[in-house]
Amino acid sequence: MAQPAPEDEDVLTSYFPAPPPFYKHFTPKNLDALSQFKTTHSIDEDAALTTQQLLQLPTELRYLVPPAPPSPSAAYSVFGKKTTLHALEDYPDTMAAIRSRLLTHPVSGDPVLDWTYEQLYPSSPTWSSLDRQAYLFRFLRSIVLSYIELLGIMAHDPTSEAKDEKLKDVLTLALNMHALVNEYRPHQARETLIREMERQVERKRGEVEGVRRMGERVEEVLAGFERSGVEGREEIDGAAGEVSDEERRRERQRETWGVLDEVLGH
Amino acid sequence: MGDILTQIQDELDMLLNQMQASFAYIRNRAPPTPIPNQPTLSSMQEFEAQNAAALNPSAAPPAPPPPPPREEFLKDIAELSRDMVLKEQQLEVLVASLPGLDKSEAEQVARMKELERELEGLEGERLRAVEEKEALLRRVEGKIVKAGKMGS
Repeated sequence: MAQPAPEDEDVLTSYFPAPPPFYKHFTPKNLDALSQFKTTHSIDEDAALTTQQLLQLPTELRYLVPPAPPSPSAAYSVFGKKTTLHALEDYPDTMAAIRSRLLTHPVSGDPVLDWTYEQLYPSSPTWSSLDRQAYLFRFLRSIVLSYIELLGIMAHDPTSEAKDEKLKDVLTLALNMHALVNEYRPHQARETLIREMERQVERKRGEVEGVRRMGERVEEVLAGFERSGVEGREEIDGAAGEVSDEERRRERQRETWGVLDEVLGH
Repeated sequence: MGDILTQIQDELDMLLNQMQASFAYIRNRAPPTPIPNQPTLSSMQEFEAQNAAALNPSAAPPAPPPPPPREEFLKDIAELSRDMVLKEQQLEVLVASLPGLDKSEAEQVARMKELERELEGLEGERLRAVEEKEALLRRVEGKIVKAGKMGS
């Protein structure tokens, strides 16, 4: 997660504009207070509040009441142009007009390349009822074959009608392949997710296993340390009169260093 | 596993491009086939250049390079064909290695659910392991401090 940017930088550098400040008022406590207010003033849950009622509310609760939607004829400006909500009703017509303009040649009025194409494979409601791979192979080989046929036609008669048909065939095949591949995308996305999850499982298992191994090793070292420590002490106790204090101190220091080395994995 | 699907689409477009390029090459560069006892005709490109020069003598395009000798042309054609076949084979390999062909959508979803459960279980185990690790660390630290005191 990204750290929230400091307040002053936020305004300048954040990718999205900050939400309006009143979103902070939408707390469960405030929402409860609002419904409390509505019940005490016997207002319907869905009914709009009058101005007077609104003014009775504490300031922070006023934000919780949605404003009335603008009237359909109210004007607002988009990109410096005045428009109304009515204008939205023309939207489908506008889009249709744009579409038809894109599909016809601006000068001659002929239809330009039409991207609708004949679907050469059966559409299937469920994923697995269609062998997409087989169809992809089939289309791919057909494209190559069509190309060779096209070469033959061109060598024989470059002006023949047959070449246009062949070109159209290649186009149809290529478009079908693209469509098939695009239908495959959700499947690939799921497959990628599965792989990623498997990797995570693997990683976490490794981590747990690593800790367990380390634990065992530390256990061993400590056990060894305790044994040798006890033995050492007994020896020292037995020979207390003979070993000088200085030697005992050195002995213990050596022991300590040995243990440290072992623990640190040297 | 990269994004095989996008690769397939890119390679497919490239294959079509290669086809187009080969056609253009043949059209522009094929040396005319001499017919016995007939005057030799110019190649398509030369022909077009001549026409353009005749129509508009002031802005005549530069004369095209002379068509390659027959052997060279055949060699180029062979190379173009080889590239195209190679591209097609590449596409076949890509299609053959599409991910998850043997799985239905339901199977995928089931596998994802299973993995999710497993991950949740492992996460708990991992947290326990981390705690264990810290406990071990404390123990070792304690021992070292004790050993240090003993030695001093």
